[in-house]
Amino acid sequence: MMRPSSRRWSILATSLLLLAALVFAYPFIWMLLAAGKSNAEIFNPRQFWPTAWSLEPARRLLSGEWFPFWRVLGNSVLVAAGQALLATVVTSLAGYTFANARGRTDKWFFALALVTIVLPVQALAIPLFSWVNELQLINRLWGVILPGVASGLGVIWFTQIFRQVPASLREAARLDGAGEWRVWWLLLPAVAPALVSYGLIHFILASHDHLLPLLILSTQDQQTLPVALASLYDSSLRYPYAALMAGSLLSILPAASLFALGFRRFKTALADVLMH
Amino acid sequence: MPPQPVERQRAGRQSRQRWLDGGHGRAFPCSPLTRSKSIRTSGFWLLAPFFALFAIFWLAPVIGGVRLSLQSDTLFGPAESVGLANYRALLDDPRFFKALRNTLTYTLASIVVILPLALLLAEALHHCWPRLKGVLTFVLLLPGLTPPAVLALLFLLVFHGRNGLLNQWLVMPFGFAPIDWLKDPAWILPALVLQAAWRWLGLIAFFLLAGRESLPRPLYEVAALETNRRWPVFRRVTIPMLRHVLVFAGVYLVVDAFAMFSGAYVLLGGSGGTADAGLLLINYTYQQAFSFGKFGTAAAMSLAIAPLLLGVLAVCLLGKRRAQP
Repeated sequence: MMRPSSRRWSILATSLLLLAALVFAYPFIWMLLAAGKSNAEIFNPRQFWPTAWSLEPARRLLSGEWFPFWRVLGNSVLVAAGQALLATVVTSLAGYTFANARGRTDKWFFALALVTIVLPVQALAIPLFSWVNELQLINRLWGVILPGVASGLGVIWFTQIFRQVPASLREAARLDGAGEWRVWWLLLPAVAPALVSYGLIHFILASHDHLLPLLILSTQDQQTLPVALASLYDSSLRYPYAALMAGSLLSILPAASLFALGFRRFKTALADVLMH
Repeated sequence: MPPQPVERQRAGRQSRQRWLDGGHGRAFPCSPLTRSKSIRTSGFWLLAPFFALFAIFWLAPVIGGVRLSLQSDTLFGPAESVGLANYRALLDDPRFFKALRNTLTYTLASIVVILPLALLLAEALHHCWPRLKGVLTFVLLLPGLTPPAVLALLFLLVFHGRNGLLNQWLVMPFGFAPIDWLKDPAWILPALVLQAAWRWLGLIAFFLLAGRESLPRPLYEVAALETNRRWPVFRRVTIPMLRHVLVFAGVYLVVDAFAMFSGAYVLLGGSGGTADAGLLLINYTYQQAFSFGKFGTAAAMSLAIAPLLLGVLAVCLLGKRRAQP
């Protein structure tokens, strides 16, 4: 469908997007440059280039002067990856079952699973905090990982996905005498893009959570990176802001690189889930 | 054999799926033999991991929350049972209603700002020069991948009084007085909405793009026979075809807005900002519990949010059903 206006249209669209991309990327570029600036320069946003590139603050941050940086970064990745992995397994099991189920009780269970969307763990933070305390999970990474695993979003996602798997695949596996666990396992390769994408979404959501890590992980060596950075910000103005900028940039890295890797699969799976 | 008339009223996809499935064995007589028992018994075990975690980390805190909400505000020592007093106190608390109003305004405003702009961006991405498409999508998505606490740190500088980026670039050059975004009660909520827009636009546009690309081309070829103009095609073909995605995006934004904590928390230093202009429900809950030690009140508030959110979502989903032809 090459209409004469098509070319002009694409130029217009591309230039609009370049403009938008500039607006969206500008703060990140600024943050990158700010990692080499002094405090006074940072608070003068009109100054774009740092006068003297100083990587000293970043070095001090990485060497763990304010908090054990690498440990904290590791915690962030561990929490997000652990929760994403567990959630993908658990919700794909549930989604597989709901996609095949058609009884009345199944519907009630499905609705029950979705309640977690309406009343998210963030809203339950206060009772959850004392309950996690009773479970002896306070100040442990498990205390942050486990509460987010039973995700209603994941159940919806995988129910939609497994409904689109041709029934013949399932029937074939079943005729071979496979039990439900085995059928689920055999069907996983058929839904691989959806698995990767949901893992990705959950990774991002989990790494964005601020309230639960703030409440549950109390000591510095158990904290996650955004919380540690935010507490650094709260503490005082004595340390160089450049360190904060460097740390913030590094905190984006895990999610951004995973996303860059899973980009294409994500798009196909998204279309599958959203358009059906 | 076609589905029963009753079932036909449900979503077409579902009944088609049932038919393909050989739903209830009507289409493929062999399936009930292999299905009937196995689903009932082992299906239960497949659900077990989910519902075990659900019971421990969702149901238990909910029950704990209900108990907590019926008690007086003491964390240590024997708490007295006070019945529904905490809920009643909530109705008399003007700050609760302020937080409620702020949250609803914030939610509505972010949807109204984000959805049209995201549609525009998605359409632009669809038509843009193919080589740049991946890079541009990724750049637009970057804010959505950034932890909100970090975004908020960044936004402190963007919104910073006189020297902030917004003032220096967009407000003062046009001859307006600098806006103190985070101190002036009139501008705190717009600042939060702006932050939400910047954060989610790329992701929502990405959702819409994924949907847009899977729309069948012949649809547009037929439309091109009818009219030569872009707008009617966009309005009458693209938007209706993307309504599922739009509803999903709306639900996503509603849920995110209600769970919004860290953005406002870091931006406003844990308080509600000047005159509580930026006080959101979750932040108020947090403040009640951890600044004032009123755990009972806070629990009552948390539980009061759920029916609200359910109501808002029900409105969204009813709208979806209504929109379906």
